[in-house]
Amino acid sequence: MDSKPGSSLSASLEDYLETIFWVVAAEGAARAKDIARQLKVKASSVTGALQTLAEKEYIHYRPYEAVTLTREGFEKAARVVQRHRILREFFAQVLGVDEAVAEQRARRLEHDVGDEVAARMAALLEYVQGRDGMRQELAAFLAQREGPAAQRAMLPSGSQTVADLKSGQKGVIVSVRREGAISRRLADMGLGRGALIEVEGVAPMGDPIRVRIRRYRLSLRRSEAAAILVVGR
Amino acid sequence: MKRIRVALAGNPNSGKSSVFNMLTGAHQHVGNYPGVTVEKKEGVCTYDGYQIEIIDLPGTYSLTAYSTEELIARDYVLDETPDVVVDVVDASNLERNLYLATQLIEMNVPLVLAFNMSDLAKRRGIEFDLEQLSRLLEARIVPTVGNKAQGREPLLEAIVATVRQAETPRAHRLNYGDEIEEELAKIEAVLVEQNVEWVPRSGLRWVAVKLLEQDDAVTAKAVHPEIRDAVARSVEHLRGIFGDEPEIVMADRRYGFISGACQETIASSVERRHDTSDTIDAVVTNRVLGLPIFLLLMYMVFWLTFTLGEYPMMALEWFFEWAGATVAGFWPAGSDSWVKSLLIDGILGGVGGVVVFLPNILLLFLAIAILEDSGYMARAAFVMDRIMHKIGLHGKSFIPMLIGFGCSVPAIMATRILENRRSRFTTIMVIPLMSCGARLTIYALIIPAFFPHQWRGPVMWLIYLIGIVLAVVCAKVLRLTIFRGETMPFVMELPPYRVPTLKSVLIHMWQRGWLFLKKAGTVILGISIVLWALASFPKPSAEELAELNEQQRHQTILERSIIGRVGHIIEPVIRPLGFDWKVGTALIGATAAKEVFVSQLGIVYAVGSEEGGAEVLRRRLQADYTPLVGFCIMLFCLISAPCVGTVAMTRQETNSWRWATFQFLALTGLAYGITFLVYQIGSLWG
Repeated sequence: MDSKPGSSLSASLEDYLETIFWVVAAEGAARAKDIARQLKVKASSVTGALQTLAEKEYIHYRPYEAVTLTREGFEKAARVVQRHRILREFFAQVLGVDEAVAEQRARRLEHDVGDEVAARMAALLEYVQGRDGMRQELAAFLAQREGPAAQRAMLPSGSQTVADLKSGQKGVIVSVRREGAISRRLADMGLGRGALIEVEGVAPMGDPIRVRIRRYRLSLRRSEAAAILVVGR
Repeated sequence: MKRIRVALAGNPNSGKSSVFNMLTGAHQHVGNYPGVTVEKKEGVCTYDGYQIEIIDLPGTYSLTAYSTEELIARDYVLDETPDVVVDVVDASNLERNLYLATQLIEMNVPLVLAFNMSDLAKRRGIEFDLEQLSRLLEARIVPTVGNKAQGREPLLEAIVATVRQAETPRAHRLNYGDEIEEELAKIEAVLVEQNVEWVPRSGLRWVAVKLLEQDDAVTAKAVHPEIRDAVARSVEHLRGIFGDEPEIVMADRRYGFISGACQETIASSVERRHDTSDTIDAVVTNRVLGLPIFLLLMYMVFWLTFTLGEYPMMALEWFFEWAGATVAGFWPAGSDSWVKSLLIDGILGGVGGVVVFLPNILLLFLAIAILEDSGYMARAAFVMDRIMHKIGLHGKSFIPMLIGFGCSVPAIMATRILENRRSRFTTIMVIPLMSCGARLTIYALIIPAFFPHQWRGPVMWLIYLIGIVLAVVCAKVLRLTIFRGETMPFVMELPPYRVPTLKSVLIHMWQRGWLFLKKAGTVILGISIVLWALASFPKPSAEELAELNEQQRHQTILERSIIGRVGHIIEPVIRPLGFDWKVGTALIGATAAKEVFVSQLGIVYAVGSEEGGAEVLRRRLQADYTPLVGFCIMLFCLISAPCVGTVAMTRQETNSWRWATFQFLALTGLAYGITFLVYQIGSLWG
């Protein structure tokens, strides 16, 4: 809920912030030309947007230098990414809309949906996901009205922690749950806020899992992975 | 000659040992840090008129005093104030490796960075602006390739140059951001106000950083209520701002600093997403293939250690037999001189009893060094963790326990691969329950004596199974009682695969072998000689022996000896297990080595060890005991009193007689209890 007048951003600036978020997660810092390439715009128009974001203190930016997110910027961007994911999964899993369509609509609506509505959608999403019977009932009901699109298999819970990510999936760490020595150890190993983590595989007996972080490989027990909250793509 | 003391720090898997080997060559010494079981390696070399003494600190990812290793490394740097700290950094994995460097920088130590495996980094297309990075980190940086001995001279040069240069305060410091810096300043001010006298050379700021991180070791020193209050206020304040513990935010900031430094100084020309390690991992940790590959490799380790190890062992046994015969030649045939007996049965037998373990230990550590250096060991732990975690152990515990089926002595030494003390000690305690090869000779005597053909296989299988089940139960019980505590997070690096170098593998093997001879070997020899004396004295008079044949003579000597007498004395105690004094005497003798049980029983029954002797002995046993007693003998030998070698090794690896005594008494007590129940309940059945 952005009630502070100075903090609201235009849809386009939010897109910039979201792009920077992903580029920084992967590379450590973002260069203007990477951002331009990702957004498919001209490098010259990037500069203006970056300046605006820097004025609002969402990013650290000086001309010809790489861009990193400020604390506020990171949180703002994480929230946009979060809304994006909620919308996409809500459309795909609750409404049974085609994945590609869900993604496309989510990209548009992420700017306008607002945190309050998104939070309720997320709650409903969780409610439906937890109830197989209701999910089938809902799918059947939608199918009656609209045809087979709604009958698509409904995926299990949206990725919230590293333990929920499947092999090959990536996420950016938003926070690590406080659990004594474990969270300190994880922080020491570089599993901190803003780091990109990718699940590479699972042990033969289903636990532990193999992840990639900061260009090296690590194994984690599922119980430890469940303490790491992420936003996934 | 002027001395320079250098401490070698670095992440595990950064190739620290290879740099250490490169610097010191053969001039190294392996010991333990005082009071703990963490290995300490020291070495010396000379350069440019300096004698450079190098201490290899334990490999750590951080210096947060989170594990024993980290605390040792940190205390060494703080208390022993080495002239230079060399941080060995894996150049191909810079971001995480520099984390330790940021902490060393914060400690204000004269620092040299060895960018190790720089050839690998180059092959991966990573290019460094070392000059710029060196300016940012304010430390000399030297590219090295430890396992190819490249960069030795420049590294020594940098060490000497760092010593010669007057200590100048650092121009930059790691900035934690305004909110945290403010609190650090407040804490520092309180520290100055209170005029604390325990500030190490790393300075006030470091103390403030550690206090804000709620570091246990530093907090324990800050007893001043003013300081504690200030820290508590700051922590609370920062928690409010960040919604997270300050230490977590600070760790993130350090990584932020590293990302910034890397961004400015590193160019990656090729983005190679999938490397060889990924391909290998896709196979060896595969959900279907992972376990079979692991089991196959374990089979090969076992085969190498024991099947291949049997040849040098046979050669050694043959040599000691020959040596015994040669020594015996100095006395007239049939002489009963106790000096002869001391030399042959006591000393030569004792030395033989030590050296006989050497082939197993060398070959096992050859295999372990290859597994560790290649990077597979971490994958083995990864594959096995699910099962081992259930019984409270680490994935890697599987390897020593498996080796236990061959021999407990190398198996206990192999627990060195476990970093966590609790997991390691638990594993050591239960290893003797894995039925070792020596006990097989006991089963081979007893089972055919008491059990019909079709039952022999199942009985043997049952004995092994009982051992495994007991080991699992005991491990679980130990982890819930004396070795209780938070299980260490598993968070384990899966290092890139590498081809092990011959030199590092051989050095590893040699160090283990030497350590065994020096430490456990002397204990084994000492106890063996004592056991020989107990079995030889007091001697019966010459008249008593005069009319007896050789077997009877041996029998009389043993029966009259202290061991024989104790065997008689404890008979009432072992009666409820179905044992008489003969079994008791053999059991006491078997403390020297499990297989001695068979030869001692032979002596007690006055049966020679020549061809067919075993059959004669079996018939005598059948006459004296029921199959139930036979089973109870095997059960007791399986569980009870670990042999001298095991005791000596447990003493060496736990660094205390207390644990060795505990293991001995606890296992013997367990054996008594279980055998008692089996015999009593079995007798009721009839």
